[in-house]
Formats: sequence, C-alpha cells, structure tokens
Amino acid sequence: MPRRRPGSLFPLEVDILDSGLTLQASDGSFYGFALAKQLAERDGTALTAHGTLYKALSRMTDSGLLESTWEDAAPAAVDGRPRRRLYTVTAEGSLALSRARVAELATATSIAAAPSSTSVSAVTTVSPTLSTPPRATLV
Amino acid sequence: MSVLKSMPYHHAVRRVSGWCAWYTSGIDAQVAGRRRDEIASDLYEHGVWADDAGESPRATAREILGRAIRGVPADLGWRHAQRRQLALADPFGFRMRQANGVVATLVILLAAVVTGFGLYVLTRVASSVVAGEIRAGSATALTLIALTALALGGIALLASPRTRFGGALVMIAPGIGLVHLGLYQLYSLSATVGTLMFGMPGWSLASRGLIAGITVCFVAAAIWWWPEKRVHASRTPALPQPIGDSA
Repeated sequence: MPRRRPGSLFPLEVDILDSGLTLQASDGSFYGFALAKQLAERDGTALTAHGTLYKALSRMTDSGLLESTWEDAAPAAVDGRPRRRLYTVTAEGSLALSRARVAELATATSIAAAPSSTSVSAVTTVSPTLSTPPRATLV
Repeated sequence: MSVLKSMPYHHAVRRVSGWCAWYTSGIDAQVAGRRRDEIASDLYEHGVWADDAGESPRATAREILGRAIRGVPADLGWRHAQRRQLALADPFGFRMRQANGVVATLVILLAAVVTGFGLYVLTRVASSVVAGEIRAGSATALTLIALTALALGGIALLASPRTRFGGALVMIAPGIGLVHLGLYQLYSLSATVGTLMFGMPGWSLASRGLIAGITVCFVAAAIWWWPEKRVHASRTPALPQPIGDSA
C-alpha cells in the first residue's frame, strides 16, 4: 500500500466512510462483515480481505475517523454468535469524507477543463465515476 | 445443508483462525485479543450470510480462504507495525523476548537431535535383535529405551515456556547417556562407528567433548530459564500503556 500523505485518505478509507455512513443511517452503527458486504454489493466486487479491512478499520479508529465499541454480551449470547465490534463514523470522519469528495471533484473538473487531447481521453475515463460519490486520495 | 454446520466451512474457519493466532502472537495481548475476536465474528457472520444467500458450503469455504489469503500482506504489515511499536515501547524487553525465542529454538533443536539419535540406535538394536545378531533385553538397550523416553518427556517440557526450565534439566541425563551408550552400542552394530573408534585419532576426546558440549548447553539453558522469584505486585514497576492496534 502506498504511503499516506498528511491529511489524505486512501481510496479504501473513502469507501469505508461512505458505506459506513450508509449503514449507520439505517442501523445506528456497523460491524466489519456488514461493511465488507456493503462494499462488495456497492462496487460489485469480491468481499474485502480480512487483513485489508481490519487493518484499515483499526487505523481509522486510531486516527479518530471512526469510533468503536464492543457489543454487549447479552444480545450476542441470545443469538448464539460472537460479539461484534461496532463502529460509527465520527464528525471528523464525515468531514474528511466531504473534503475527499470536494478534492476528487476538483481534480475531475480540472482534467475536464484541460484543452489537450490527453485530457479529453482522461475525461472519458473519469466522468462515469461522477455519477457515484466521487473518491479522492487528497483531503 | 447449512453452511455453518458443514465441514468445509469449519475447515476454512480453523485455518483462518490458526493463521490469525500466528500473526497475533508476540504482540500486545489486548490488541491481539481484539483482532482475534473481530475475525471470529467476521467468520461467523460470513457463514450466516452464506446460508441466507443459499451459497454452497464449498463455495463459502473458498471465499473465506480467499479473503484470508488476499489479506496476508496486510496482516503481515500490521504484525510488523505492532512488533515495532512494542519494541519502541520496551526495547530491552523486546530484545529479551527475541533472545529467548532464539535460545528456545536452538535448545529444542538440540534435544530433538539427541532424541533422534536415541531412536536411531534403538531401531538398529531392534533390527539386530530381529536378525538374531544380539540378544534381546540387554542392560544397555533397556537403559537406552529409558533415556529415549526421558528425552521425549524433556522435549514435551521444552515445548511450553512455563516448563522449559524443567525440560532443560531433564535433557541433561539423556544428553550424556544417549550419546555415550548409543555410541557404545553402535560399536557392536555399526561397521562405520567401529572403524571410526579404532581409526580416527582423538575419537575418545571428540566423543567426550561432544557429551560435555551437550551437557553445558542444557545446563546453560536451565540457568537461562531459571524461574524468577515472585515479586509483590506493589513493587512491580508500571508497565507501558497498551498501544493502539493500528498499523
């Protein structure tokens, strides 16, 4: 994985914040597998690898983009399953996502505005992603 | 058939849990426990989801193993970062643990070689008894059996950090006896050993040096792992705070 520039988000982190907010809106919080499922359904890809997902989640929790708590033992015991680690996107996480989207949009716009033939082909590549929440690596 | 109750799913879960247990070993216990619990939850939820989606147990097992394999570089990176943070927080303790690991590996290896030699000699004795070359139940052969059994017990004790001290002490006797009696027994069974005994200058010195070296190794290991006296909790210096589990 490339080294992170200060104040920037990795593409996976943008995806996690975006999908996390969606899950959070309906369930109040989200857990690892629910997030992996949401990411796979949204992008039509395979489920995110364990190592990649949980490494990113713990990194984001430590940097304050997410908060985590362990589910109470009682509901898990009633369902007969292991306890879930529940995550919520913090205000800082929401802000970081907004900044990432703005930066992505600005990058896409600057590419579209460039007159060269190279830029025209770049716009063709970039424009379909504008219909979905834009992703950025720089906040 | 339910995925959660299927063998392929359980095999996959066992393999992933085993991998997780390995890469979370030797790091902060709290951080390791959190990661293991989170993976256990993920594996269970994956099984439930596969059941609901009507996936076959084999396909689910493949998917779980695929997720684990694709995550190996991230897992290793996370482990490396955790160990580095641990080393920064407690450099002396980290180096001591590293040295302890190296000592344990070398001593267990030596114990395995000594035990293997004992088993080899016993095999030669058994084959010679079967061939009618020597009589069964000689005092040397019985002592070799006892010492080999003791060596196997020593290896079992060496395997656990709590009993390593005892294991090193137990291995002293087989270290001396198996080499000495094993060579003595092979003298009558092996043409090579017989030739070496008579033909190699300094054979006696070499074999005695080997026995002395093995003994010193096991005695030194026992001293290295000598149980520390229990320190009262109030006198124990404060340990560094657990570090975060990020990488």
